[in-house]
Amino acid sequence: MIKNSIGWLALLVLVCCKHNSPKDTPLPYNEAEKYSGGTSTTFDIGEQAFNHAVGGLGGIYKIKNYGSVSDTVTFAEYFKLGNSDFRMPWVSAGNTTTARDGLGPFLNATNCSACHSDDGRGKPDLQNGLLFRLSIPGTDAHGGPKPEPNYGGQLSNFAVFGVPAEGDVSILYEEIKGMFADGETYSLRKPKYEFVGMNYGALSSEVLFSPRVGPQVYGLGLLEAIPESEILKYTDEFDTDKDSISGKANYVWDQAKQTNSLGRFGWKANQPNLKQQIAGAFLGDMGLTTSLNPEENLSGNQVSLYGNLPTGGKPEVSDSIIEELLFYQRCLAVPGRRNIDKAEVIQGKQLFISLNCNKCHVEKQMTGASTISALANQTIYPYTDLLLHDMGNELADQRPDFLATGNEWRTPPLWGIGLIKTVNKHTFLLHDGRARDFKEAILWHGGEAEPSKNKFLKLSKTERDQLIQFLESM
Amino acid sequence: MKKVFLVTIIVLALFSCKKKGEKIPVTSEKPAITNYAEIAYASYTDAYNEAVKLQNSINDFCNAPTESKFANLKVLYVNTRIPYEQTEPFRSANGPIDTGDDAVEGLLNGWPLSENFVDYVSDGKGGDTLSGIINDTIRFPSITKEVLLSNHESGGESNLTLGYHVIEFLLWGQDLNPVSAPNSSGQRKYTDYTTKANFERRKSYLKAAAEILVDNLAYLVDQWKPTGAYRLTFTAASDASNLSNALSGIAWFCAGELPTERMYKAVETGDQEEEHSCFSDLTDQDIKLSMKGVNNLMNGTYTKVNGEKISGIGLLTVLQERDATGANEVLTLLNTALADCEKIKAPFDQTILNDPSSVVKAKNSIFNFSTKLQTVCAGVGITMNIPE
Repeated sequence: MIKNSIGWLALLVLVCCKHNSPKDTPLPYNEAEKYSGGTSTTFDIGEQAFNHAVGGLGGIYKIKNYGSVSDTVTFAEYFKLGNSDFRMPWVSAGNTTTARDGLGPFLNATNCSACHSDDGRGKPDLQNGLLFRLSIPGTDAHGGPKPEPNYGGQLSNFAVFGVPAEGDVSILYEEIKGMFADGETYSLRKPKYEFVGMNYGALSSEVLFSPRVGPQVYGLGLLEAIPESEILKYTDEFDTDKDSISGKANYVWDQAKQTNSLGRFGWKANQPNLKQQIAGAFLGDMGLTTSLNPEENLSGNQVSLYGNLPTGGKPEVSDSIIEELLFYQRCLAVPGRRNIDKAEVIQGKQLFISLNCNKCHVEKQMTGASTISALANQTIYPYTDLLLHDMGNELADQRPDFLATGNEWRTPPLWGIGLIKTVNKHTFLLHDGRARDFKEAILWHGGEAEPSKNKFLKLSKTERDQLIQFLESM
Repeated sequence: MKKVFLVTIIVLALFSCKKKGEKIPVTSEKPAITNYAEIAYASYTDAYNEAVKLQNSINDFCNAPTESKFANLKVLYVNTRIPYEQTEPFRSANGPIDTGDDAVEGLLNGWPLSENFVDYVSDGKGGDTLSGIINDTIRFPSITKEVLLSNHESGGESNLTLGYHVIEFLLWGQDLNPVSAPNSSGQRKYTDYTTKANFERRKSYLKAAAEILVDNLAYLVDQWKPTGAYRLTFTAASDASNLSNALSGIAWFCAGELPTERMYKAVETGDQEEEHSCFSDLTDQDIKLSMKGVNNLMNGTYTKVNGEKISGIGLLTVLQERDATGANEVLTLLNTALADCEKIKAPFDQTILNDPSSVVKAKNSIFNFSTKLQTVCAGVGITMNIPE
């Protein structure tokens, strides 16, 4: 009787806990791959997935005394300040809140989160994260793009009250039909842009322009902490290994060092570090000056028209806000992968490798030293080499940016992209958001990736779905 | 014998699967959740009723402006802020204030604003700019509710056309006082509505803004009333999920929003007008009232504007049933935070510049309360979902 009951008991316990039992047949995957952002990876898969701090921020940032009250500011609190800076809008000069004034006169947005909503990805429209870089042939004093004479380096589709915006862009898409080897058809949309309502004279007949969507901003501290030598390891500018894939480093003007440095950030790797990227966005996107960019963003006759408008101080964005934002950007954790043990995802990853996708979207990187311990010496899975690649004429913007030619783009990291749908409620991909989903993004690949794209076209429906499931697991 | 064994088996089986922190059934959940909804309904109703009084008086003032009527509008503005500020802890709790496409928080309480998108501001040389929708007769030939609604946040998030702080600006004006001045708030004159350029348009703006304020508060009342759409969804949801949302909202408000964004940021920036009620200088009141709102929900009480009291089971009781020690620690820290908030010196703009110690102390206390609340909730199996 007792024996029998114990047997029942054991059975009940087993049934009740079945979800904890080990799998019968272990599948070939590496558990470590879940930790896309190293030990500080976040596993929130909800709408806030991109908005978490890396772990280990328990340390003290500073202790400040206010009379008898001593204030201990932890890094976690400091991170929250940066988060606030990222979300809160700036106001134009002359308004009461002088710590956050000086916006414009020309701008694309009033806050960082307008284009990187919830630290995620913008949409392909000028109200929600798309902007247009402008230039004319030639280079500036440092080898960068030569600004368009009337409109500068970027079109501002908004301006402060009383100042007409620079202009707007009308976007039309043309559907291009295609077919997989198995007969399934697809349609890609090719954008056509037209500058309209230009208020400061004609655009140069030679104008070069590049549409760019605000990318998601987590994991940037980790990417910044990858040693230069690790990145340069993958360069193969003249394709000496004859795999049709090159990999070229961009060397761009480093404003603080006053010399050229390796470019890491931006769609064409045209920013050498996060601080310059942030200061560049403040000036170019919001019309806000910083110590790094002390002059207002005015071009052509805008200087005489609006050069005397009140400003928000010199600089408009204080160094302490830049430091808060920099810390915040560095410390945004990367979402971990899901379903890595799922058969389809494992198959999808095999296909990703056999199609040579991983030649540019390099799976694994190691970070080096960092002042933030959670970022130092981490094994990460960003799926990028941070290098430039020729992506073909169809994707080209034909606008050189330092060493990047009109056909070249930096390999964007793939970590976390499966969650854009959840966080940003859309699935637009590529630099201008033309791709409506993963499949279309792959199909737009050309140039060095043409052979990979062609292999994708020949995959079976099942295999294509497996590859997409792998990308969704990011 | 057999029976005993079976019971043992089941109990054992249950135990063997119980994860750490799994929910233990308690008795106060349902009444606490119902009471939470009652407080929401009552406080939004108060804010609405007071806003209606403000709107009526604005209409009366605009018909025949006088200095005393103008002064009275400021009193009525404060009267609607008193209940409204107590509703702040309903934010980030999946409620109608800031969830879904019809969320109204940004329309009610948006900050900061480019006030020169609304009206004139100082040109810094002793004169005024001819700026804002009120002074732009070409782009905005008439000023109506529709104009304000369609231009809200147009061209950027700080281009607010609506909400409490816009009305605050239209009543008080810019606070241009040096930090040493005895009059710390904005000094808008009632003649802005009688003789100043575009005074008729300014009246139209003020009237439209008040009407929209009332509309949006009416929406919240409508959602929370016993037969309201949100109230029905809320009642149908599980107690566990409602409890999780309610406590997460409070914890979020007392971690990121109030102590960090509204208080620490002000101290750290060291700018005189880095305060949410920068025109009226009522920021210290905002802080005290929103913490009073937290206290309301934790203790299950609310005193209506008419003096009537709601007194039911608070969220604290739910915690007490699960972790008496932890709940008492939460209560102690809450009381400390409330006491420290009371000690914040007014006016806030001078305090943050001259001696921010009272603000620093209060923000730390609020933060500590939230941290403890999160720990205790997590310990008793209440899921905390707190955005950064």
